[in-house]
Amino acid sequence: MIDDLVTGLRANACSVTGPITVDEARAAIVARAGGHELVACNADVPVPGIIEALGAAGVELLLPGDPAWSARLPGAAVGITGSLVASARPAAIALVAAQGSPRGTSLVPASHICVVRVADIRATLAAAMIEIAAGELPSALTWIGGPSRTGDLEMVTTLGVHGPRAVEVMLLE
Amino acid sequence: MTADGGHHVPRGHAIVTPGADFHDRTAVAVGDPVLQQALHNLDRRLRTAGEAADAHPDWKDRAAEIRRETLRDLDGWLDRLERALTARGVHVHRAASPAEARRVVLGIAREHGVKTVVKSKSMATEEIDLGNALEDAGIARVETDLGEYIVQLAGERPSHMITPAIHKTLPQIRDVLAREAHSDLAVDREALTAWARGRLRGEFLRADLGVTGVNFAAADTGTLVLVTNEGNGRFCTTVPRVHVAVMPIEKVIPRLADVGVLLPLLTSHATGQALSNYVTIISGPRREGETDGPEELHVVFLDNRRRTLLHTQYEEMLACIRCGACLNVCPVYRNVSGHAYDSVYSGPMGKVLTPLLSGGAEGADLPYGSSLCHACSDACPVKIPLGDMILALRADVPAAASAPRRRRRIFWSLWARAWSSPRGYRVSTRLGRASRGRVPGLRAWTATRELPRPARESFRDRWAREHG
Amino acid sequence: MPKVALFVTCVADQVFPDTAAATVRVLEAAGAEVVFPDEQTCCGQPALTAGEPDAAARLARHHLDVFDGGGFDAIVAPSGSCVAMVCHHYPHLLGDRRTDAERMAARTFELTQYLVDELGVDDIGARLDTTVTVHDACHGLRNLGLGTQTRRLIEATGARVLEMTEPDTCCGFGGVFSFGFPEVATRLADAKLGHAATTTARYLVTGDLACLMHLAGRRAKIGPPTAPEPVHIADLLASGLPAR
Repeated sequence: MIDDLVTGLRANACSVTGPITVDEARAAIVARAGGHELVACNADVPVPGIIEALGAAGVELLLPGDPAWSARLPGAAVGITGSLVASARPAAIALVAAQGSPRGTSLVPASHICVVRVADIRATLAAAMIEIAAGELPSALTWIGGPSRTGDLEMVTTLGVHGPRAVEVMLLE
Repeated sequence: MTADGGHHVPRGHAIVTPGADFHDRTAVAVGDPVLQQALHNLDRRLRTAGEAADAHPDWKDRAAEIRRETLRDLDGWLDRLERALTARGVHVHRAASPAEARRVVLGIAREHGVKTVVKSKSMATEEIDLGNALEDAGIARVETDLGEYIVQLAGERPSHMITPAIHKTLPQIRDVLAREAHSDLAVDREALTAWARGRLRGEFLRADLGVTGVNFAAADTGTLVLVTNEGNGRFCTTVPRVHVAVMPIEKVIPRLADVGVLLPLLTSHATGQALSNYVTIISGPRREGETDGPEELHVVFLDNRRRTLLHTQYEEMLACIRCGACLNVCPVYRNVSGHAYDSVYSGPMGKVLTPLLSGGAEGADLPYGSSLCHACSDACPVKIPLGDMILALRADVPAAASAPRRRRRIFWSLWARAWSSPRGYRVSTRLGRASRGRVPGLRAWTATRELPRPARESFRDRWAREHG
Repeated sequence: MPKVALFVTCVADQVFPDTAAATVRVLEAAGAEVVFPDEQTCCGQPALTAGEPDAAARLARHHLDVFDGGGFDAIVAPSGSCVAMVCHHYPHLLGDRRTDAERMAARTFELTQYLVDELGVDDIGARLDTTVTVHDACHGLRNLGLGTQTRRLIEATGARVLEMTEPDTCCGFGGVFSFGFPEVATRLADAKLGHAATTTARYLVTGDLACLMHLAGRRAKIGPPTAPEPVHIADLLASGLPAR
C-alpha cells in the first residue's frame, strides 16, 4: 500500500520522502523551506516543534492566526500542511480546511510540503470516501494528486497552472 | 440556448455563417487544415483515456445503477439535497429556466456589490449564458480554466467540455495570449502557462465572487464535489467572499461515498487520469474560526426542461456525468470539433441534449449528422444508449408541420407501400435500375466516390432463373 | 442438414447479386440447405434511419410475414446492419407482434455469426493464399458482437490477417449520413483506406455491403490500384472454394 502510494504520487510528479521518523521529517522540512523568506505553516502538521525549528533556521513564518494572513499569503514561497488521509490507488492525499488549517496554504505558494502519516493511508479512494462520508465533514476537503497541471495546450500536460508547481510529500512512519 | 421568451443571443461564440446548417459547418471544419492539425492531438487522448477506462470494467454497471437511482425519484432526491444543503447554511435557489438562473446570480452579485467574478469551467454556466449576462451588467468576468480563458479572449465558445480550446494549435494560443499580454510571448507551453498563471493569480486575489459548476452533489451529506486539474476551482471557492455554484438538477447523487466509483470513472474517461489532480468536497461556507473560504455559499438548481425528459425514452440522458468520452470516440466529432455543432453541448451527447433542452428550437438537424456507429454508446461510462437516442430523435424532434418534414413523411410512406409488397418492390427496383445515374441526390455521392457497376439482373431474378 | 432461409438484403439483391450468390455457396459448403423466400423485400432500415419508424414498421411486418413460421432453422443475411435491424429494432417496432418478432430475431444471424457461432464451423473448405485486413463494420461489431468470427474464417483458409490501426472505427457510410454529410463521410473513408493500405494486405474485407459500396467507391475514385481491394467476406471465402 505504501509502495502504491509512493509510486502513484511520483507518477503525478510529486517528490516523496520516507517513511521517515518525526525527527528526520523536521530536519527535512527545515532543509527544504529554510532558504525562503516567508513560509506559511498550518497548525495540523504532525511534526512537533516544526514552528520553532523553522524559526531557528531564520525563516519568517506566516501562521493561520496572523491578522494579515490573506494579504501576506501570496508572498509565501512554501506552504506546509498536514493531511487527513491518503489513498494508495488512485494516489491522492486528502487535506481538510478547519480552524488552524486554511485552504490557501496548499494552494497559493508555489511549493507545497505535505506531511502524511503512514497509518492514515487507505488502500483505495473508495474506501477512504466511505470513511470520510460516515464521519463529520469539514467545510472543505480537497484531494490532491500532485502539482497543478493542464492539458489545454495541445493536449500535452504542463505543470504549475494555478496551484503549486512543486509538491513534496513527507511520509511519517 | 434558451427556450424561454426572453431570447438572449449568446455572443462570444464561434463564427457561424448565417443560414449555415450542421452539414455546412462540418464541411467547413473538414476543409480547415489548422483545425485538422489540432484535432490530430485528440488521438493521443483517445489512447490514454481508453487504457485508463479499461482499468474499471465492472464499475460501469455500478455507476450506471447509481446514476439511474436518482432518476427514479428526481424530485425526492432534490428535496433531500436541498434540506441537507440548507442545514449546512447553504442558500438554495431553484431556477426553472436560464433567465431565472441568470436573475438569481445577478441578484446575488448586486447584493454584494460584486465588481469582478472569477469563473471555474462549467457547462451549466455556458448553458445559461451567464458570462455575457454578467458583462452586460457591468461586472467583469474572468474565466480561470486555462482553456476557457483562451476561448474567452478569442471571443469564442468552448469546443469540448473537458478541453475547451482543443480546436487551437499552440501558435494560435500564443497569439491569443500575446494580444492580451500586449507583449511577445514564446510559442512554449511553460512560458505561456507561467504568463497565464501570473495574470490569473491577480484576478483570483481581487475577485468578489467565485462562480463554479458542480460535478456531483451528495444528497445524504449536502456536499458539493468539484473536479479540476489546475486549481482554479479551488481558488474560486477559497478566496472570494461569495461562492455561487450552478447545478443542473441531474448532478444530484444519493451518497457522498458514491464518488468513490463515479470520480475515477469520470476522470479516466475524460482525460485518462486515474483521478483528476484536485477534487474539492465542499460542505457549507467557511466556519467559525477559519481563515479563508467563502462567507456565503449559494447553489442554483437549474432545470431548463430537464424534467421533461423523465419517464420518456430519453430519461437516461440525465445520467450523463459530462466526461466527454463520447466526444473523444465519435468519428464525426473527431473530424469537425465542437464549434460545428453551434451549440453549448457538442458531440453525441450534444446531439441528444440540444434538441431536447431547447424543445426542438435548436439543433434539430444535429441527430442526422451521425453515422450511427454507436462508438458513443460503447464508450459511455454510465451506459447511456446514445446511438439509440440519436436515431429516435430523427423521428421525435418536433419540426412542426414544416414542408420538408411533410415531404419526407410522404416519400417514405409511399416507399413503404411499394416495398412492403413483392410486386411493388419488383416494379420499383426495375425502374430504379433502368434509370441509374439519374436519381436525385446522387451528386452528393458521385462528387467523391464512384458508383458500383449496375447489376445486369437482381439476385432474385437469377435465383428464379436457376431454380425455376 | 440445417435449413437456412437466405435474407438477401435489398443492397445485395439489387447491387451485389454475386455476393448474394457467394453467400449461398458458402452456406452450402458449410453444410446447410439454402432456400430463398422470394416474397422478401427489405428490412426497412432506410426508413428508420431517415426518421420514419411507421414506414419502417410496415416493412418489418412484411418481413415477419415472410420469414416467421417458415420452418427454417435459421435466417441468414450477408449484412450485420440488416440483422441488427431485425434483432435490435423489430421487437419494439412491431409492438403488437413482439413475441413473434423476438422468436424470428432469435433465429436471424449474420453470415459469419451463423457459420462460426451457430454451426461451429471455421473451415468451410475454402483455400486461399493471400493477405487480408479486416474492417469491423459498426452494427455487426457493436450490436451483434462480431469480430473474431471473420478472422477465424479467413485464417482457416490459410490466408493471413494483417490488422490495421483502428479496425473498428466507422468507415463513414452510416446510411443517409454519407449523402447528407459527404465531406465527413469521405474523410472517414480516406482514413480507413489509408489504414488498410499501411498493412500492405491484398484485400480489405468487411461483412457489410454498405461499407463496401462506400469504401470501394472511394478507392475507385482516388486509387491507387495497389491499395487493398475492398471485398465482402462471402466473396472472399467463395473464391477459395473448389469450382463447381
